[in-house]
Amino acid sequence: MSTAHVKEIATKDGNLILDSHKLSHHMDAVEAWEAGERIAPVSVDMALTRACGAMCSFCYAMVQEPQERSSIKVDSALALLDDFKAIGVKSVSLISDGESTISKAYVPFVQHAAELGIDVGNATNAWEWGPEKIEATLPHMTWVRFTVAAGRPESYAKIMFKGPEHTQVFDKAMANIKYAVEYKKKHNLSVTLGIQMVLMPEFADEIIPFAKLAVDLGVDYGVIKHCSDDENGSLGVDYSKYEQMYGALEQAESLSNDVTKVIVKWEKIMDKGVPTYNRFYGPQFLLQISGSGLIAPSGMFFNAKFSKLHIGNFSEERFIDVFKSDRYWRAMEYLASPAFDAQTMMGTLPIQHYISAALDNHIKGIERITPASGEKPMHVNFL
Amino acid sequence: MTKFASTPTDAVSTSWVSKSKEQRLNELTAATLGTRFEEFVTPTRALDNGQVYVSLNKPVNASDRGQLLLDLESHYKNSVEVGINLWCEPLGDKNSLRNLRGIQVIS
Repeated sequence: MSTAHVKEIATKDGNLILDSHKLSHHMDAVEAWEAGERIAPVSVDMALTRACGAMCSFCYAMVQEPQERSSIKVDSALALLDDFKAIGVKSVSLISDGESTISKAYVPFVQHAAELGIDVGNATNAWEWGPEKIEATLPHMTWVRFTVAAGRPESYAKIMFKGPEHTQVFDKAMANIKYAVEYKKKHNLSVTLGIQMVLMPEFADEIIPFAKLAVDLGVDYGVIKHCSDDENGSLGVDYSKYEQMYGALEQAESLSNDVTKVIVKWEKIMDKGVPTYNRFYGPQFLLQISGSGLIAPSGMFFNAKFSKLHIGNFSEERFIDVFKSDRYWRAMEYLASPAFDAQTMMGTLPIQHYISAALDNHIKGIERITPASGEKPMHVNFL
Repeated sequence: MTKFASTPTDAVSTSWVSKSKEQRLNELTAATLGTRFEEFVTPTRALDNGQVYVSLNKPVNASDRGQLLLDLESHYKNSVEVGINLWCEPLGDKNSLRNLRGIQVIS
C-alpha cells in the first residue's frame, strides 16, 4: 500500500484538512508560544453535558468520569463564550464527552457563538437533532459531523445502541442527516456536513458499507478514524490489527466522487497508538472542557485518576479567571516537563495529537512549522 | 516551556524497585504525616514503575485539587522518590446506559 497519503483533500467547497493540522495558519500563536508567552487557545473542544442516549462500544467517554458532574446552565454556557471571545479563542467544537444537542444550552450556545464571531462545529449522533434544532443551528455552524458507526442498520444499532434489532435509531439518524443535507442545499449554507466512523478492528466489514452510505447520503465527506483507548487499554483496542484493514480503507477512499469525499485518517491509524512525542504541548492551542464543566488540558485527563491536572469548573467560576490563574499554567507546564510522558501516561491519539506532534517536531528542528501561503483551507480555525 | 522536549522522563531508582509495595506505601504515608496533605489523601498503591495512587479522603473542588495533588507529587518526588507519578484512583462511567457495555477502567 501507499504511505504517501494526501493531507489536504480538494472538495467542491475548498480544501479540507482532516488528517493533519492547521498551525501554519496560526503562526502568531506558534511564535508567541515558542517565545514562552501565555497564549490563548486557538480552539476549544467541549460538551454541554456528559449525558448521551447512545451507548457506542468505542466511546471514550466511558473512561472519562471526573470527580463530580455539574449541570451546565444556559447562563454559564453563554458566559463561557463571552470569556472565549475576550481572550481570543477563535473556534469551539462541541464534541468532547457528551451529546451536546440534548442540552438546553445547545441552541442558545450555538447562536451566541455565531453572534460573537466564534466558529462552531458539532459532532452528534443526530438522534435528537430534528428539523427544529437543525433550522435553529445549521446556518450558524461551520461544520457538523455525524457519528455513524456503520453503514448497515443492524450493525449500526449493535455498535451504537442496545442490539441489532433496534434499527429505529439508525432510521432516526438518517432522517435527520438527510434533512440537514437538504436544508443546506435549499438555503445554500456554507456549513460542511460529514459522517464519521470510529474504526475498531472488529468493525472491518463495515468500512465499505460506511463509505457507500456517505455517498448515498450526499454529505460532503465520510471520514474513518482510529479508536482512542486509554493508557491501560480499557476499551481493548488492538492497534496491531489495523494494518489488515489498509486495503479496505483504500477501497473506501476510491468511492469518493465530486460531492462526497471518503477520507481515512491515515496518520493516526498508522501511528498504532504510540505518539512520537513525550511532552504534550497541544492543549495550549486546543483546550478541552468536559460536559461536567471540568476544565482540564485534554479530554485524556477528565477521569478522576488525573485529578492533579484538573484546573477548575466553569459552572463554578468564570473561565477567564481560570485561564488567567497560575493553576492553568502550572498544569500546562507540567505536561511540558520531564515529570510527564505522553507515550505512557495518557490515552492514545488525543484530539491534540496532530498539533502536539507538529509542535514537538518544530522545537526539535525535525520539521519547522512555516507560515502558510495560498488559499486558507476550510475550517481554518479548527486546528 | 519547550526546553524539556528531548529530556528523558523522570524514572524510578533501583532502590524504589527493590522495595516491597508495603514498604513503599509506608514511606509515602510517613512522608505526609503532620503535613497539610494528611487530611486530604491516603496512598493506596505504589507500583514498581513509580505510579502511585491515592484516594481523596473528602471532596476537593476542581479549582483546588489539581494544585493540592501537584504539590503532593512534588513533595513525594523531593522526599521519597524522584520517579513517582501521582494519580487518584480512577472512577468508572456513571452513565447507566453506557455502563451496559461493561467497560471497567483498568489501572
